Amino acid sequence: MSGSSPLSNSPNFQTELAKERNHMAANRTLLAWIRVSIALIGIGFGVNDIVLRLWSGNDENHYLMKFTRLFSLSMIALGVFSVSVSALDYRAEIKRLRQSDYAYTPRFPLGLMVAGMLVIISLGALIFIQKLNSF
Amino acid sequence: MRNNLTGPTNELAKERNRAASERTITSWIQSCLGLIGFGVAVDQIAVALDRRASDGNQLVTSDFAYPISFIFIVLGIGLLVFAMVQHYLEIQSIKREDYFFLPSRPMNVLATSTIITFGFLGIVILGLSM
Repeated sequence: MSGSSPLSNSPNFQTELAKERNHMAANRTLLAWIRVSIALIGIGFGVNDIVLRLWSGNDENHYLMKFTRLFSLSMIALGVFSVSVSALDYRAEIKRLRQSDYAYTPRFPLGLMVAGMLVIISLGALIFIQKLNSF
Repeated sequence: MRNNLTGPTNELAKERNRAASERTITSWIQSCLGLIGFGVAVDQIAVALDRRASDGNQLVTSDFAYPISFIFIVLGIGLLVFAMVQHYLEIQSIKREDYFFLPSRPMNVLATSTIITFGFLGIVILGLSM
């Protein structure tokens, strides 16, 4: 006769399974942030390298070099920031899962903050490119 | 009869939904980063190539590259802002007792159709130049 055992129907067992799912969700979230930070840092180094190689030896583009350096540094800093905060968040979530009285805790909106900073950096890049092309 | 399992399991489910929403916005950040990075790079590459090989025979000149760059950056910023709004609404709705599902289909349709349109335009332009 098929059917689940009384043990598997107990609240503790199902809560433990749910906690395990939460643990795996936290792992996936941290990995997603690692991917984002790799992309941000990669773009930072890549754009800097490409522009410097294209404009090397050309002293007319002092402002372009400065802008590129600033853009690249912003991207790299944002990447380092996002992976650091997400690692701290992951650590805190794992600690909360170990507690018996788990409660959902609204916290620091890392996604909104990183997206917002990326919008600001991109708007700066857009304004600079527009001014550069108007000369 | 009231279900005694809803307390901790609901709280854990809320956290899983929050994590899923965060993973969604990181995916949008990556996609928009690709668009913005391409927009920033294509303008500079085209201008530099224009200077080094100015025989006027390139497919993508600096005049043509600027609108492309502008569109890509604006598209990346626009999609990122939509993603931020969607993420914020999702986080706020999780906090409520009467949670309701928010469909995200319009945004996905917009992003996919825009990229397909640009891809087809690229094929047409390259095809006409042959």
